[in-house]
Amino acid sequence: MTAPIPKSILALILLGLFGCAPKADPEPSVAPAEPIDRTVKPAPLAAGSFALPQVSEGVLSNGLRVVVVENHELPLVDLRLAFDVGGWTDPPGQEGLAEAAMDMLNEGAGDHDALGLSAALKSLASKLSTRAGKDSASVHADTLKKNLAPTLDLMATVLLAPTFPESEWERVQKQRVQAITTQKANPQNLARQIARTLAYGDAYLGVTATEESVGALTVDQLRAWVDLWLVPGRALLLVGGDTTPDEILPLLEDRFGGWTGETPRTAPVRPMVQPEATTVYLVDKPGAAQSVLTLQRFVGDRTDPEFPALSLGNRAWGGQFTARLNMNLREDKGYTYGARSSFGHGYAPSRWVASASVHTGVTRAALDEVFAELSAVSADRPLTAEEIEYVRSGLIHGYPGRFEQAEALLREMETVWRYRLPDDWLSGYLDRVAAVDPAIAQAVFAERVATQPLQVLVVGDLALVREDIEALGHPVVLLDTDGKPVQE
Amino acid sequence: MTLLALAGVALAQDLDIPFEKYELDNGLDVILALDSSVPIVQVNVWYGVGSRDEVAGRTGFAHLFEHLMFNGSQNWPGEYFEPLQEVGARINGTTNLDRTNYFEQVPSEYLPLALWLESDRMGFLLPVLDETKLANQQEVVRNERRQRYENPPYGTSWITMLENVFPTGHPYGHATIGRHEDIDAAQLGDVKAFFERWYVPSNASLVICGDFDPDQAKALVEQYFGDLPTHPQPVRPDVPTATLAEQVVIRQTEQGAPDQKVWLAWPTPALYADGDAALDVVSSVLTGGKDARLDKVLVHERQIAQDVRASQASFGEGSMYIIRATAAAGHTTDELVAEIDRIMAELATEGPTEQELTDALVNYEAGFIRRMGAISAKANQLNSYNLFVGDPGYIQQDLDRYLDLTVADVQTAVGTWLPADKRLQLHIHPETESEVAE
Repeated sequence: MTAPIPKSILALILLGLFGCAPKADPEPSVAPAEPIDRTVKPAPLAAGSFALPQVSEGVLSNGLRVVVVENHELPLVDLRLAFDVGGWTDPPGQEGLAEAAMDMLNEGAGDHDALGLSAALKSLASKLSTRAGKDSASVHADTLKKNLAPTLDLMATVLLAPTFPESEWERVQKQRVQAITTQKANPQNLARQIARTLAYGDAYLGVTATEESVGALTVDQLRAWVDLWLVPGRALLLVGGDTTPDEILPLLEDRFGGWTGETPRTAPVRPMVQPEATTVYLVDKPGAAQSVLTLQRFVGDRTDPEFPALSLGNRAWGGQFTARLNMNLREDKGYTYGARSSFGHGYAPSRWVASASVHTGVTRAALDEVFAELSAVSADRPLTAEEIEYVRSGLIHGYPGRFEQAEALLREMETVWRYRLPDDWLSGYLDRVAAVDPAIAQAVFAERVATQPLQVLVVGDLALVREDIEALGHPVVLLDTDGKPVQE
Repeated sequence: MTLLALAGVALAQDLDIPFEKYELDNGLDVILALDSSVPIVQVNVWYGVGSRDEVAGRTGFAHLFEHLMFNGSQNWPGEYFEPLQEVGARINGTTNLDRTNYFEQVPSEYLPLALWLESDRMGFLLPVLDETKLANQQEVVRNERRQRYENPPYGTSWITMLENVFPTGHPYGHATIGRHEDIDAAQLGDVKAFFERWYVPSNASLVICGDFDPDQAKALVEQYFGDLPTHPQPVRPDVPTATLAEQVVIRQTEQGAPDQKVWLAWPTPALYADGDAALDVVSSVLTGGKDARLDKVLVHERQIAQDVRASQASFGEGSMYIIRATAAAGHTTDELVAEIDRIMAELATEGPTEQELTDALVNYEAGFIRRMGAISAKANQLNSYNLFVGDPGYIQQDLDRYLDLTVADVQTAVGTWLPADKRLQLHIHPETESEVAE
């Protein structure tokens, strides 16, 4: 049943991904238009060859590392200066600091005020964004090749000469405070954040910017954050598109070579709240048409040797359209538009998360089906070798497609760098997938997920669903929209 | 027929997606476009049917039907996704007011698999369709409606705009997702009639884009699609030009809505019609960056808006222009409308500056280039041009629609198409004003 793995991909496994596979001769044409037997699934043609794009590396005189992936298909260049910092550096009470500080970089820099920067970029048809998340911060430029030099000038200006105008901060601060309230009104966003709070407690992804914390931030704090963290020793510059190392490195040296700063040596914490018994958390959304269901627990580090097996097991259980979870909840029962399970990776151990938005009226029935699918894994319906081979085939065959945009490789490299993953993380990927024993995939998924206590979160209209959920018999905790327990 | 050289030369001045187009005897358009950067290929089919072709009492049907196309056909009666996910494919379908599309992006060696599956559901869908599959997808689609339009705040605004900018019963007067009661009312007979009328080769356009051998692909297309029966191209219902005789003001409250929001919406010229490109440039002048007119005044200077966004939603036979704004805490949507009206009146009187026009055009040109990077974007672009103007090679003419614009064209578009006294104002406020953040 399983599609054969093309020889070219096997060759790639053997060569390692950075090898340059030879281009195969074109296949001869088939004879035209003989009648076909439609009852027979057609066999594949001979496979073409695939090699990951070549990566060049350079270092500027201040030690800033630069990686370049060339792609000369279109006259575009993409530059991403990634920082090994993020919202995890926010001190208690200053949640939202990193995001606000990065946001303010393009609200005034050098001789440009906020509107002047916007106008200058527009006239070049360039895009420049300055952003932070919990794990990351970056200055990202996207330009036509012909406007590369002036775009780099603006990129360097926002990084090296931000002015943090007080009046702009007053406006941005108000906008950011209002946006926090707005976010919480969307049930899916709310479920995502509360699930994090349940998983990580009062650190890392568990804490989020609040109206109060952002409302109390000052320009001096933003500036100090930028001065402390945005240093070449914590940065990687990823360049993709229509340029070459010979062209880009001197342009970068001119603008960023003199940038210096002490490198602070702090690493994020790794918090984790592991449920001891399956517990249901409820958040009320009166009038909601659907209940947003989330089930989760921590399952170990992604560098754990058993993780590839766990990953294949999860894929067969809930990780794609044809997996058990979606086939049951959507294609059999019609309870939802889609149900999936996946892993949240970050600095902490990886978190397994299953989620679906289900019609309010079937909330309990949907939970019953999810639990039944989990129970079945260690009872009457273990994940079969055929199911594991099926998802393995998809991952391996789908691999070249992930790099259709040459720049996709840069995002993968950034992940390896940011999370300090092993050197062979990319080059060994297909090997690791190929090496999984289906029986181990079943066993690891059962052991780490299917038989374990879970945190279960339901965001929905509690007047309609609460009683049925309580009848499940698990402990039930009512939370407010900040994820705090409500005293009843 | 156009046959251009293989890609590989860096883009010069003219935009060009090299392709070859031909037609099968049964009327199926076939468009082949090579891009050999990675050994993958996309099969992308557009059918000339969308929610504008639905009949009374069956809103949402074109989209419901799209779902049923993934539940098996005569020679592959199981899940459509199954043999494709096995080979790492990206698969989906989308429906809008004008058309329905389907695509699967597979490793190149699986081109025969993708063509086998697409041709089987084009030719042989009905023998395996039953009440159970229909009932299941009715529930799935109703949950899609809940998830995308009912559960998120303001999610029904799109539906309300279409229902009020276009007259009752107009082909564009309802959203593609449809109404619950209509989705629920669909019968197997409706499915059969819809398939037989619309899902015929003469109403479809097949793009193969990516890394493949053209001779081989042509032979495969002939094998899999050549013997599907010939039917005349279906005649689509007329789409009358919509106008609003006066301003329509709707004020709604919504449980759980966090902010005051307002949408201004006008009926405007169709995709590629005179005025369509000029209205896109109007959007750039109004909200294309922090220094654009509405952003600058509402968000930056007066700080009465949290955000503001103008856009022309272009449809095949008539469009809708939308300005959406969120009130800043402590301000009202009525203040926003007053300020927007003042700025629009100024633009109608004075027109944009030469700089505003130039900035908009260089950004449109760059946008065209940015969109050409992905195989899927190219495949959809070729099919879109083929369906709407009959020429997959329309890209340079499409860009020229913008590059040929003058300041006067943009000024005229504002005055002609965006009058303050003939439009929809849709305000959605929190249920209780105390919910507004202060």
